Amino acid sequence: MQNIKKTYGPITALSNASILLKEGSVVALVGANGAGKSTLMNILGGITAQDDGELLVNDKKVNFNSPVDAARYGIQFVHQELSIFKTMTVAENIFINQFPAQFGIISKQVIESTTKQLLAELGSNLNPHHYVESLSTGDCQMVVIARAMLGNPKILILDEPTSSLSKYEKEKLNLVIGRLKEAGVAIIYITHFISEIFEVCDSVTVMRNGVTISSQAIHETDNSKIIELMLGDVASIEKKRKKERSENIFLKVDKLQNENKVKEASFELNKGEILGIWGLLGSGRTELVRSIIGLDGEPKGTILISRHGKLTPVSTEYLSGITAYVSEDRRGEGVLLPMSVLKNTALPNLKKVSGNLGMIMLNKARNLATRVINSLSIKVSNFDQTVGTLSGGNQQKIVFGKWLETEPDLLILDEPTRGLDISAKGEILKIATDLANNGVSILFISSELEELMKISDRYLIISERYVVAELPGDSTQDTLISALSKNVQGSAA
Amino acid sequence: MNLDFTRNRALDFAFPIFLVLVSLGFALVKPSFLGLENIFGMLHAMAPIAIISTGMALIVIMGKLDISLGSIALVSMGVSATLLQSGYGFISSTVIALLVGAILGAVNGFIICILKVNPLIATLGTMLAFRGLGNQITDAHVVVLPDGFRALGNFSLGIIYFDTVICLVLLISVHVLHRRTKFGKVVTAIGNDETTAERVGLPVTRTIFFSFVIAGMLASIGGFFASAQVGAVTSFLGKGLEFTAVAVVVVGGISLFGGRGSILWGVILGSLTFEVIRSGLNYLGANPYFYQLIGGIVIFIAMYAAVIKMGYSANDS
Repeated sequence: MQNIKKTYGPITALSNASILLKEGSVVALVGANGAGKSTLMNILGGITAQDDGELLVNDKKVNFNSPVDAARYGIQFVHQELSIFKTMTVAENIFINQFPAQFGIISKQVIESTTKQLLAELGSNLNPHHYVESLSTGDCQMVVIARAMLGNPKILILDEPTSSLSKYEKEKLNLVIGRLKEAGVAIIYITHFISEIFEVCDSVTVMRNGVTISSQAIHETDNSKIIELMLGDVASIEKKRKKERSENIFLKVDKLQNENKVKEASFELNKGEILGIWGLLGSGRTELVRSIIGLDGEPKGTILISRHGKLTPVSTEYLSGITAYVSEDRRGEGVLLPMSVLKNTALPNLKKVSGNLGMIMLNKARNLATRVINSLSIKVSNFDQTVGTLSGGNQQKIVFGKWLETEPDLLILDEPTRGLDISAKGEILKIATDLANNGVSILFISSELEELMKISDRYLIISERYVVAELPGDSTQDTLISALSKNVQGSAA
Repeated sequence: MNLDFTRNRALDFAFPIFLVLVSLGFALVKPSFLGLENIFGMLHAMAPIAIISTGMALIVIMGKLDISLGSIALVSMGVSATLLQSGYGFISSTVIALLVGAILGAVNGFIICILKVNPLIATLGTMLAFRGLGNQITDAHVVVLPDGFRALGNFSLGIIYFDTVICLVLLISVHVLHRRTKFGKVVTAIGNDETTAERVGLPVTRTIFFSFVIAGMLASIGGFFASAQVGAVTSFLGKGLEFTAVAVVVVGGISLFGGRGSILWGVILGSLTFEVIRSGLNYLGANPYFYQLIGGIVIFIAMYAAVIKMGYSANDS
């Protein structure tokens, strides 16, 4: 693929992306969130078309209009979300879109014996007539890979294949990848786990901001180089706030554990402080903040809150009551797209807008919506406009506004600027700093180092589901990056 | 895991065991209840509903519903009966009845696939509209069918009735269609997850459309035998049948959530359960309304068993 460009409306997803694949070799494709990996792969897989640039297969120019087109050139895409049918058997799942039939009748024996053969080639001994719902995620993945193999692929795209696999299953997958390599298949391996790259890949292509900035053979690079490339240089950082925060501890989390989501986390958060949570995707950032407010079951460990000047242990439920959580999934969890601004802002504040009889008072709800719109200068024609018609930045402001009306003591911002344009990003950061200045304590998660550095008073380093270190607010980019790569390497060893 | 498996198996067999126990109960009071004559009589009586349920089963396995099937039966038989009265032959009017079933099924398919209306809402609408159409055609009068028609409806070789045989042939055909053809696999895949089926590139729209056409045709065949048994087409033909068909399918272990169940065994088990209860209570001379009460309870138990089963399999994964 050469010089691929793709824009979605005003947002440029890819500005100059190229990737080279060789028979029988595995290319790792890495990059931070929004770097353009998925867009590039969707173009290769025929799911979307590029605006500019060329796709060459065996030096011949090709154009794909659909995944079926791409499959004709031997390109198979194994998505992160596995396309499986639970109530059907392994064999049926593998043959689902290419059943061989004689006079319209499918022979169970034929598909089951072919399946057995195919799975054996992949080194798996799954029973072809077992139902897929009884399989582990790793085995389901095997089924999907086997289905892709049935299409005789020359290029196989694996999108985050290990994101929900156990260690043992990962090893099994690595063996499969090894076999496919031997068979001459070119593989693109998308991952967030840098250490994995060194286990299976032959070369690494790094993407940042829609550009493939580097392609190197695996022995020419290492962990920290890759991470550095992914995150990029941060131009001179101007701190959004002067360091003048109070030293009163507001929240103390001690030895928090939550099954395999959070291995161990201890940290403190001061009143009016913005604590930047720094880690790669998949390191357990989101899981950490979800755990402390009890969204993922009851965690082990202690959570203390400062009440009347004393630290008192509280339940996750209590903490959740005084917290506003701006989730990373804005469209899914942040707002109700088909509903109006008025309804969206009223929803977390129903007590506030209700009258004595528990009925919602329209005038109160209107006042609240107007207040939210004005205080955050949200661009809407009126409060009856549906949120789905607003721009991403304005949607996010609605999320902020509705939570702020609940007057939270703790604000959790999980990738609050994802998918926003630069000016909207700036505004969101400004709102966050203003809030901190007014005494709200903030946990801030971001994949973008630059924005994290702009806003954080202190950093918590997260790796492989542990809180591994804490760094002061004046840490340099190098310290932050090396803190991550050191810990990634540590756990890989 | 093993325990859950046993429990699921036990639930699978719960209704067959229930059916046997209830039959034995009736037989204790009246031994002739389990005589061959009564058994084949029941198989004869349940043939129309079993045929309609066969189509319903196909739709339910896709995770959808078609509650217009009873009304489709009325319209196609209304047309057929009117044609017979105005001098058309038996064969041509029957072929036309089947065509009407297919066309009305296609109307459902069009509303669901092209206009993207939720199947329950779409067929709720057509259930009312088709019934109106059917009554328009017959003027809501009882249309008496020719004697030959009635003879066919109750024709038997020994104790085996003609409609029982046709019912079995249709059941096996649709069962094979579901289990052994590409079409059937797509039906099951849609019942699992329509979005995933589309992503994998399966012909989702086409399959949904033709399933509704098949269900419509089966509904008119069911209507054919239902009217043949009584020798007339009345405006009550097929009324409430669609709901009985849903109940039959559910009792037969075909999940309303789609993707699960066997058409052949499910429809036989479901139809037989309701027929045994109906005929048994009738045998004992019970109040007919009592049958409705028992039928309701049976549906409730079947749904509850399905929920328990779903719970267990959800825990497995």
